[in-house]
Amino acid sequence: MSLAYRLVQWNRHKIVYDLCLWAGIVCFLGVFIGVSLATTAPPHQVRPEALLLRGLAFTAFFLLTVTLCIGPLHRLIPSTAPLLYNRRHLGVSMFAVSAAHGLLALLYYHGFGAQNPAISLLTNAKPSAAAGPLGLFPFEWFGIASLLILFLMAATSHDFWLKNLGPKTWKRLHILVYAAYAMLVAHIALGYLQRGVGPLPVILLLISVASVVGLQIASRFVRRPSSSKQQNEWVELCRVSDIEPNAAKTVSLPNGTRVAVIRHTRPRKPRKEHPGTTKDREGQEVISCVSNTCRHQGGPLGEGRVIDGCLTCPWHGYQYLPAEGQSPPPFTEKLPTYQVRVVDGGVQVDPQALPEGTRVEPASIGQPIATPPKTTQAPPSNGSDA
Amino acid sequence: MPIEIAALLIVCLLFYAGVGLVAAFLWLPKRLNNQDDAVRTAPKAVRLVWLPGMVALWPVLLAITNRKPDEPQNHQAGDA
Repeated sequence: MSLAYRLVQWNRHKIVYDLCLWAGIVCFLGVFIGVSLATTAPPHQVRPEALLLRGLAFTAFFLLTVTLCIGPLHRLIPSTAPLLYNRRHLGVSMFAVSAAHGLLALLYYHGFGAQNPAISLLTNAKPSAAAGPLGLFPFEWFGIASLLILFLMAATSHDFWLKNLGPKTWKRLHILVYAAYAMLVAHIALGYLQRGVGPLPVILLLISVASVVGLQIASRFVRRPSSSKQQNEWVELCRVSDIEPNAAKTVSLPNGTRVAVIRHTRPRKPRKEHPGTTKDREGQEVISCVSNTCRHQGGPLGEGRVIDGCLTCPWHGYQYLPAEGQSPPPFTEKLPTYQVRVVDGGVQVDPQALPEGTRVEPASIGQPIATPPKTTQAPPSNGSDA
Repeated sequence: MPIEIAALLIVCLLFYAGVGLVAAFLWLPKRLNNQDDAVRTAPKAVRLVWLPGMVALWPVLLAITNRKPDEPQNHQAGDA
């Protein structure tokens, strides 16, 4: 969630990611159509537009499978965080491919008759006697319903919607992706049973369902390992001026770990929970540093902003006290924190992650800390008292 | 599906979207300006990105803009 709404929250990483993603989509479609044309003899050759239709369907379903696998995969393998980080772009791209498939199917199969294509789609989706009882329900309807859900999700994939719908409503809406996935599975399975287009869709379908269900189950039983010890040298990650007030910035430590550097104001109360805060220091601009990965679904905290004194995840609104690295009571989510200091306007961070929820005194922007704080021993944790 | 029902469905859908389009251009911008400071400064292109969602979810947005301002919206409101 940015301070101001922007068309797309692009940065260098996301631009590279999007370019690779779309290059991959175009290459896959080209290879799919080319191989299909090359491997079939003219009497059985499918028209290129029909191949494009199928290629778009394969691509969209593959992208949806990847989108659903990213979350549990990240819980199992934390190094896949960059995939999770760009999940919104992946989801919107997947919808674009799905919509292209739907539109092309509408025009290709229903666009050349006397009837309105939409009415033709609804009325001409005939049950198939060959498929037995399963053929009674036209497979196209599952595709339409799924596309409608994916449209709602893509249309609300902007910070504006997260903020105005509220995290709870937004999350409820976006959890419908599982319903869309189930309907797509039904769409493909019934399409196979009713039209019989070869075994490939069924094989891919089984692989997809096994991957999604298997990863979801596996991720429930695996706990993420706690942060490991790293080398103890202060590194300058950015300038204070690079970070907007009451916002955060995602930066990478030398070992590749992403952290969120937060520029916020020292809390005004309650002082007993912030022993380092004296009355004359209240309201000062300070810097804190926590892990970039939200405990909820791995959202990029460095793209969040500070709301009510809490760093707020841009994805689902989970909040963390910047200095404590933990959610405000009664919530219990905790993040690894990092020692931070400001020297000549540069933000320096000790790459050694402190235990989750360890309070770190924020570094004052106006008063550079001359003596680096002791980093070999973690400061006392405030535990659940914060 | 009988053609009459299909036609009725399409008409209902178009009516819903039409009302949503009117709402997106006439009512919602003013209401959202009052509710969300960042909306006022948002570029025109961003508003175009919001348009499909506004057309689809206009009843939800109208309900939200009628909500009391102190209603909790964040993590503290519950498990998101």
